[in-house]
Formats: sequence, C-alpha cells, structure tokens
Amino acid sequence: MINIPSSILCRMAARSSISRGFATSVVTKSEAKTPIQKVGWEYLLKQRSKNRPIAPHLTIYQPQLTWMLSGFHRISGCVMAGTLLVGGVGFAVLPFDFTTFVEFVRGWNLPCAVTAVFKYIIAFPIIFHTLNGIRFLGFDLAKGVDNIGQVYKSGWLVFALSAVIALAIVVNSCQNKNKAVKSA
Amino acid sequence: MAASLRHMAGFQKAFLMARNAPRLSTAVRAASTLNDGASKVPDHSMHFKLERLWAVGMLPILPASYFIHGPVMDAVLTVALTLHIHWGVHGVVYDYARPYVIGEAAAKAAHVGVYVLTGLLLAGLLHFNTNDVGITKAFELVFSL
Repeated sequence: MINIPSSILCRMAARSSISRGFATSVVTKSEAKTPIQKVGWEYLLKQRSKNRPIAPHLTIYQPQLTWMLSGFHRISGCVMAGTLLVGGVGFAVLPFDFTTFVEFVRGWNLPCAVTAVFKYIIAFPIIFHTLNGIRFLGFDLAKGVDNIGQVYKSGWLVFALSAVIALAIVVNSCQNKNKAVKSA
Repeated sequence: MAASLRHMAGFQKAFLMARNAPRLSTAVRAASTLNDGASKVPDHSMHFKLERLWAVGMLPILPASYFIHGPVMDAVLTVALTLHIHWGVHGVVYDYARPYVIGEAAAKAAHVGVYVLTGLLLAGLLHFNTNDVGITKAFELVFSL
C-alpha cells in the first residue's frame, strides 16, 4: 500500500480541478489562497458554468424578519453614508449654502403632514441602525441567539422601538414648529 | 566493578552538557493532516474587535447628539461616523465586489474606491462643519421645517 499524505492528495485534486475550471471560464486568477478556499472556488466555477445566480440573490428567499432586518441594517447604513457623502461634497460644491436651501424649502409653506413624512424617513433609519446595531453587537457576543424565538423577539422589539422613537421625534418637532408659528 | 562516585559525577556532568548543548538537528513537529490553510490567511480578529469597540463607543454619542448641538458635537460625529462608514462600506465592497463577480481589475478599483470615498466624505463633512452650519445644526434646521 502506498502511503501518501492526504494533504498532498487533496492539493493535487484541487489543482487539477481548478485548471479544468480555467479551461472553461474567463476567470484568469483565483481568489483561493488555501485548500478549503480552492474547494469554494471550484464550487463557484461550477455554479457559473450552470448559469446559476450568485449572492446577493434575495428574491429566492421567503421574506423573513431575520434576513430582512439584517439587509435593512446594511442598506440603511449605506444610504445614510451616501447621504452624508453627497450632502457634504454637494454643499461644498454648490453655489448656495445649507441655510439658504432650508429657507427656500420653508418658503413653500408645506403642511406639517408632508414635512413629517420626510422627517420620519430621515429619523427612522438612524434610530433603527443604532438599535439594531446594539442587537447585532449582542449577536457578536453570542447573546440572544440561543434559539430562533429570541432572534425574532429582539428583532420585533428593535423594529417597534425605532418606529415609536422616530414617531416621537417627528411629533415633537411638529409641536415645536406649531408653537414657533403661534408665537411669531 | 561498582562505578566510583567520581565516574558517576563525570557521567552526570557529560549528560547535562549534552542536554544544554545546541542541537545538531531540531525536532520535527508532527504535521497535521488537516491542512485548512489557517496560517496563510491574514488574522482579522483584532480588526473585528476594533470595529465593534468603535461602534460601542458611538452608542452614547448618537442620543447625545440629539440634545447637544454645536461645533464639538459636529467634530465628534464627523470622526466617529467617518471611520464607522469606512469600515462598513469596506465590508460591503469586500462582500459584493468580488473578483469572481466583477473581475480582478474592477475589484481592485472598488477597494481603492472605498478609500477615495472615505477621503471625500471626511473632506465634505469637515468643510460642512467649518464653512456651513455643521451636522447637528443642519438636522435642527431640517426638523424645524
């Protein structure tokens, strides 16, 4: 019986299958650095050859609170980051400043019901990202992940809490506005 | 033919010297058959911890920024948000802008692009804080509408 270490066999197998993968795909360089990553790389090439969709492919999943909150956490973070970037660079480049812009919008005399919607759209992602961030920090510490029920409970709690806090902030700002209008 | 006490001492001395002497060949560590390549990929555990600690540090800042407005809060928010956003966006780019999906060159460009965007963000926010009303005052104005 020939005694070849299994690691060598694995490496040989992986290399030959990858070179086979190269022959059929346009990819010229592998992301794989380790044998286990080579297995993953080979799997990806197989998926591509069968024209299968690649991640992120959300429409194949049933809408569930778990991944939807996770996705909204990431999307809200990116959108808020984009707003700060566009706003910061924008008001540096544009010929008018922020106060002029706000006073221009104030001139439209929008009813509070309309501005409240926009305020809510601004407030909700900030509060949600913060509260869900606490939830995810807990997950990182292996807290609140003992069973799926806990994950759902904390998820709904975070969602409801952010909805209520955002509503409170918007209502408060509208009340302040009404007070300011009455005193003026 | 009992060995004398002096012989015994001599043996012991030689044995101790041999043990302390530099070895001609080092012991070969038994190689594991499990080659998961863990030693070949960089260790990101410290980065992961720093990222989380930074986020924990931001937790008191956000509610505080609702009540406290001014240049100090603007500066604190700018620094906290810029690094948090840099790491966050880098994570997103690392996940989706993979060489397998968009090609080797585009993936590299995306990774460089994150640093460009972070630089622009920091410059934009600092400019807004010094030459315009600042972050907290901006929120104040919008919520006064």
